[in-house]
Amino acid sequence: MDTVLAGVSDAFTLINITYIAMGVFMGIMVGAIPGLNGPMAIAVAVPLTYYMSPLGSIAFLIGINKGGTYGGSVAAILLNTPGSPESTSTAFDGYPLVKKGKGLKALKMALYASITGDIFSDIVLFTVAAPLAIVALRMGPPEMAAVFAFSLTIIAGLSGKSILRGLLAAILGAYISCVGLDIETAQPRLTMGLSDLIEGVPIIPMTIGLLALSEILIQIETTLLGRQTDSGQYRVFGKDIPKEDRTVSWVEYKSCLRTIVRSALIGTGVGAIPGIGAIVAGFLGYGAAKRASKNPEEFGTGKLEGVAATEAANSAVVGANLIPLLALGIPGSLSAAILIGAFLMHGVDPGPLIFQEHGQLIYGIFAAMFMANWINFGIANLGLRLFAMVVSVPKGIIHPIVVVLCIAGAFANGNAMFSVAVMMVFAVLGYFMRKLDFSFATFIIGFALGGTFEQSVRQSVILFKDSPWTLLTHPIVMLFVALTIFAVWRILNGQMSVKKVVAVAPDSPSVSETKS
Amino acid sequence: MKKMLKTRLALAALATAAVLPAGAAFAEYPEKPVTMYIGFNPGGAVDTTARLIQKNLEEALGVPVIAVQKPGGGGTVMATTMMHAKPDGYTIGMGASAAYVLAPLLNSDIQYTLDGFDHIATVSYPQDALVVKADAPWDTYADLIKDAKENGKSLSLSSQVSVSRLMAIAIEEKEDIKINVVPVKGGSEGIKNVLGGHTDMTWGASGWHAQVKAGEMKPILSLGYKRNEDFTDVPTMHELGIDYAFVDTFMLSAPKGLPADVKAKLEAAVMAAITPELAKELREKMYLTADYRGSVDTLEYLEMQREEVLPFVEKMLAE
Repeated sequence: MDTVLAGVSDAFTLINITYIAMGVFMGIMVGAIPGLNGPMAIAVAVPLTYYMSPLGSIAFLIGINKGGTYGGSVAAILLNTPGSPESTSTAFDGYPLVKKGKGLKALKMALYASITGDIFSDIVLFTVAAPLAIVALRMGPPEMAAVFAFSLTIIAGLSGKSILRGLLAAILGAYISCVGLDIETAQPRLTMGLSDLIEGVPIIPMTIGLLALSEILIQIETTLLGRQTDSGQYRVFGKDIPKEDRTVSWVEYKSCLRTIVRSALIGTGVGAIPGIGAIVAGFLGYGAAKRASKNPEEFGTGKLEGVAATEAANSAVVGANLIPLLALGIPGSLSAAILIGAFLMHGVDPGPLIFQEHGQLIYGIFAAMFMANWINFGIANLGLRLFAMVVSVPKGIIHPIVVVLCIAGAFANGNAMFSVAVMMVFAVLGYFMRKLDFSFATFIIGFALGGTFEQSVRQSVILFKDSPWTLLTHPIVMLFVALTIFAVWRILNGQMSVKKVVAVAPDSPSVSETKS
Repeated sequence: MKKMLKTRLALAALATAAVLPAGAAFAEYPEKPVTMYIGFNPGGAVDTTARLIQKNLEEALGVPVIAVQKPGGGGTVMATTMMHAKPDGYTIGMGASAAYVLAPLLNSDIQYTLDGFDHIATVSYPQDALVVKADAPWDTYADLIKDAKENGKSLSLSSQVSVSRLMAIAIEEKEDIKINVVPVKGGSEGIKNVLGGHTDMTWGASGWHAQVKAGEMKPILSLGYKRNEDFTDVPTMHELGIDYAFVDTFMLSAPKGLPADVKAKLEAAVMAAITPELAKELREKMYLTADYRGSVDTLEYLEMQREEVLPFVEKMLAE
């Protein structure tokens, strides 16, 4: 207990609070800017922390991580250009809300959901990290393969209007994830002889092109061709906008609470298991909310719940990511891997003994994380009014700025022009996907899960090729296989009934709101 | 007037060129900041080595050294980028020997060989080990082999890099046992697989030290040329009678064609940069062993590494 109190009091120094605030501020800014994102900011910030105290530096980096995860939603909502792939599905409902003049409301819901998810997963980290980490350890290759298979079915709900196009996009994403060194033979696949592709197609420039730049291309095109029905400038302030469109009421928050808690659970689970990633968490949260909803067709048209579902899930990953790191010394994500480096630089060896050897520091970090949530809340609350002004700026000013930021952001990934080229290629692909109404959500999921799914299946084959029947004794595998079969059966059933409904009412309102 | 000035300048330039010996254009090296590429992600052992040595290099060279991350492909992305840079000493790269020795042998997409660079100096190397779970029935390499042989068991190895894949081939050949190599991405996944009981063993150059200190894992052998300085009980593969060793040594290199005096200056700067304090820091924070070798010795060392792995690489590619 003394260690806990000592740690907490360590965290409550002016300098540490300043570091956290700086980190959160930097994270929000970087996250909010299309093209830049949290992991990138952490990588850049690590060398800065060499001169800080261990607690200060870790608190600073965690602040960036927390701020960045919220910040990602800002660009997604206001400009329809997700700042990071985690917040792709935030844009699905966030941007339609902006068009309805409810931009401020969407931003606030994103913030509240984000903070709730974050606090939830932090509490899980503080209380049950050790037992949860032991569960996570049981996730071997076959378990991971089963979880990935199940994740893919949840995400099928994101395929947009046509399940066939959604599937095609997912397959294309999975195909592109095959580029790079084959993990088993270490031979290059589909690299076209380019040594830049040895590690595969880099996901950051790819998503910047696919999510942000392609949307800007579409917006520029609409403006140039004069197809735009409105000015492209939306208002979120002003006396003519009723108060209920600018704020989130307690009743509205409460009505989303179920979704937020579900998403927070999903995000925490994803974060606790090394190797899944925040990108999937956001989609899973959204997909699960849509699946559970009584009115799934409202998703994508500006439903507050959609914003909350994604943001609670992707923010909950942040705290939970530290579970394998602190309990086992195994990083669960790129950001966590970078944090390990920061720990080591300060002479702290993250491993099973970290609580015994550096207990005071760890409790200090916990306290700092808790403070970071509130600081994030405060800064974001002030900032979102400022951010929201972006939508009232003429697009002629916004577009060139975003294009430059996209190029800079892509370049910053590996400091190479190759990344910029990758971004350009995917911007064009994204443009056509948007035009032809192919879901880029399923594409990204196909890409993000394709590689890991293949890897875990092939690992399982190597391990179990002599005795495949022993897989029957793995309870987690069996559970997720059963869930997957159930989910596929439900989807097929649902498809049938949708077809029936469509046949009866061919003029049913479509969700073309998001396409301009 | 203008014309006269020009002529004068030209004359002056001519005179300077005549007076100074060859390579004089670089006589004042370094006169501007030096860019140091880092071939790995932030936070890793190579990055930490680079960041720690950066300050000392700045002192030794007298100009700023700017670190630029070029991660990817286990250092091959950085090597490929550096290959195309000007060999003027203003672009250098911190990488690891596997990228120069192993990658060109294994991967047809790699456009360089280890002779395609001017290697400046080696800096440090990690302490590696083949590790098993603490409650595994084997305490030593001999136990492991005996169990596999007597019970006809095939062992499973989480392998992140070709270094350990080659090790598996070497062991299989020597001991006549079967090792199922499970490919993983990142050393931490291998550690997770061993701790979770999914594979019998994993080999790593980092990440395992804390697990061993905590009593969660046991190191049973090292691929080093000599024993790890912090884990002296762990025998090397050579001691166990197997003809395979590989140490992924961190080193500074430059594009091919570096002027001799620039190379000498850089070499001296690295030697000066590896101070006893730096060596201590590397060892205490990252379990790295400081290991300076000049440019001639570095090339010899890399060639030796290539010789030693070649037979195993051929077997791996034949599989």
